[in-house]
Amino acid sequence: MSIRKLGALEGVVLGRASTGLLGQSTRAVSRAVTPSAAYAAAAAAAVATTAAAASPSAEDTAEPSSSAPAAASASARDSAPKRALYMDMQATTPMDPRVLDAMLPYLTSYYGNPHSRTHVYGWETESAVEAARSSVASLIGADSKEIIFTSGATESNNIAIKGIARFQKSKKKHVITSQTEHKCVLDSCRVLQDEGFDVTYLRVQKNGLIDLKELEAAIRPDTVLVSIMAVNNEIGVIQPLAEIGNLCRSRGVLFHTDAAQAAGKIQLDVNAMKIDALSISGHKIYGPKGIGALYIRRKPRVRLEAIQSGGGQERNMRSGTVPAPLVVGLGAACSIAKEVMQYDHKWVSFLSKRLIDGVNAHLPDVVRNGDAAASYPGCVNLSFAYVEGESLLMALKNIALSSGSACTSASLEPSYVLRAIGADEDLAHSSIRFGLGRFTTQAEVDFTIQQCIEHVNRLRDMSPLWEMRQEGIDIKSIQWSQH
Amino acid sequence: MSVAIRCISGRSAGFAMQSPLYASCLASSSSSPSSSSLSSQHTFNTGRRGLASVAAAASPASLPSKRDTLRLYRHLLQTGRKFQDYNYREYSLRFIRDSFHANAGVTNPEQQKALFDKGNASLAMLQRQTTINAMFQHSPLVIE
Repeated sequence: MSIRKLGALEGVVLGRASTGLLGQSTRAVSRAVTPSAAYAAAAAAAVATTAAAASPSAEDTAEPSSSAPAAASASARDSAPKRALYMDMQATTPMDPRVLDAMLPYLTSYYGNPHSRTHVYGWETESAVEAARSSVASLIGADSKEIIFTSGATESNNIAIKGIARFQKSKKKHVITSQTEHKCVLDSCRVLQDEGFDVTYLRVQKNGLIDLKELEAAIRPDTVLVSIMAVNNEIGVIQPLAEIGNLCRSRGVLFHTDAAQAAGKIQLDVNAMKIDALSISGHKIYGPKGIGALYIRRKPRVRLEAIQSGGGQERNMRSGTVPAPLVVGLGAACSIAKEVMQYDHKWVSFLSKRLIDGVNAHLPDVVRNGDAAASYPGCVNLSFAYVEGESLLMALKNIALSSGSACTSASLEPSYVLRAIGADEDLAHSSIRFGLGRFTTQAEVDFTIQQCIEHVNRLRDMSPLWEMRQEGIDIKSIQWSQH
Repeated sequence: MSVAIRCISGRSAGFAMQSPLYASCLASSSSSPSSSSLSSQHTFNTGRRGLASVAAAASPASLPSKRDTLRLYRHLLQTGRKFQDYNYREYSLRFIRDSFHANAGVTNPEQQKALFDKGNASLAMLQRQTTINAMFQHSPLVIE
C-alpha cells in the first residue's frame, strides 16, 4: 500500500514516532511503515508528546463530573478542577436564563396537558403553547397556524422530507438535496431511495455554496422537493435561500430548508425567500433540548404524510402530547432571539473577527473552510496545515472544541462536508471548528487564540513536514517511496 | 373559557431596555420629583429596604425619574454579578450596560415607562435565576 494513501499528515505523526522510537532524527524522504504499526506508534507518540508538553502552570480541565469529587480529593490542589471553556456552540448552546425562567412555572405549577379541553389546567397550558407558537412563527415571518412542534430538527427534517415526498409518491419521484446536509437529511433521502425515489445530491463549490445553475439543471418535471440547509453546521456557510426559493417556486417544486443553525441568528422570512418547509431546533438557539419546530406552508397548502400516528395533535402531522414546558422554552428562546438578533450578530461578528485575525497574525498556513463572506460568523472552521487535528484538539484540552460535527466525531474519517468542499485530505484531518455565541466572552476568545498559537507552534516544531516546508521543499512534489 | 390566565407573565420579555434619561435629565429631573408619589420619596431614603422597593418606588402612575432609572441600573448590575456561571454573569453585565446605553436617547414617556417596567421585570427574573444558578454545583472555568 502506497504511503501516499495514508495522507501526508499521517506521515508527520509516523515521522515523529520514528524519531522517538529510534532516538535519531530521520530526514529521509522515504518512510516505510505498515498502517497498523503506524497507528500504534502514532497513538503512543501523540499521548507522550501531549502529556510531556502539558503546561505546568495551567489549571487542568475538569474530568467528567462523575470523577470530579475523586479528582478533587486526590489532587494536591486545594481548588476544584477547573472546567474547560465552551467554544462549541454548533453542537449545542447553554440555555438562556430567561428561557429557564419562562419554563419553570410550567415545570412546577402549570402542569396541565394542553390538549385537555375541560378544565383550567388544560386551558392555561394551551394558551401558553399557542403564545409560544406565535413567537416561533414571528421569528421566521410565518403564521402561527403553520408551525408544528416536534422533538427537534431531526424529527422536523424527517417529517418534511419523508412526509412531503411520500404524499406525492404516485406522481413525483425525484428529490434534490446537497452533499453537505446534516446526516438526518441525508439519511432520510437514503430511506426514500430505498422506497424507490431518485435522489440527486448536488455538489458544492469550494466555498461550500451550491451552484444555482447546477440546481436548475437538476430539477426535473417529476421533482417534488429540494432540501438545502440554510447555515451549515460544520463550516457555517449561508446558502442563497432567496435565489433557491425563487427558482423552486418558478419550477413548481417545494423548497425545504433545515434552519437549525440559522433560525434566530440570521434574518429568515419564509414568504420573501419562498420557503415551503423549515426546521428549527430548540437547543441551538439557547432553548431547551428535546424540542424543535417545523414550519409547513399553508398558502398554497403543503400536504404531507405524517410519520407518527396517534391522536391527531399538531394538525394531524405530529401526534403526541405537546410538551408544554419545552414549547414555552422554545417560544421564549425565539422571542428573545428576535429581539436581540442584531445585538448578538454584532457581538459574534466582533469575536469572530478577533479570533480569525488573532490566529492569522501569528500563524501562517491557516485555511478557513467555507466562504469567508457568505458565512455565519459564529462558526469558524480552520485548518492548520502540518498539524494533526486530533492532536491539536487534545492539546487544547482547556477549551471544548470540535473537529467535524458532533454526529460524526466518533469516526476517524474526515468530515464528509470538508471532503465535499474539496479540502485536501491532510487539511481535512487538521480542521477545528470554533463555535462562538451569545455567551462567549472576549477573554475566552483571547485565551483560545493564545492557546492555539502556542500548541500549533509546538506541534509544528515537532513536524518533519513543517521543517521541510521551512526549507522551501514543496511537499506535494515529494515521491514517497515504500520499502 | 373566561379564566384569568397568569401564564403570560411567565414569559419574561427580557433584560432591561431602559432609558437612563441621560440626554433629558436636565429637563426632566426638575419636574420628576414633584410627579413621584410620596411613597417613592420614602424609599429613596431607605435603600436598605431591598430591591423589591425599586419596583414599588416608581408607581405605575408616574414616570420613572432619573434616580429611579439609575437605581434600577445599579440593582440590575448588582444582581447580575451574583451569577455563579461565568458566561451568564459576563453576558448579564454586558447586556445591561449596552441596553441602557442604547436606550439613552429615548424621550417618549410611554416608551420610557414601558422600558422601566421591562427593567423591573428583568430585575425580578435576574433575582430568581441567580438564586437558582447558585443552587447547583459549579466549577470555575479555567480563565476565572
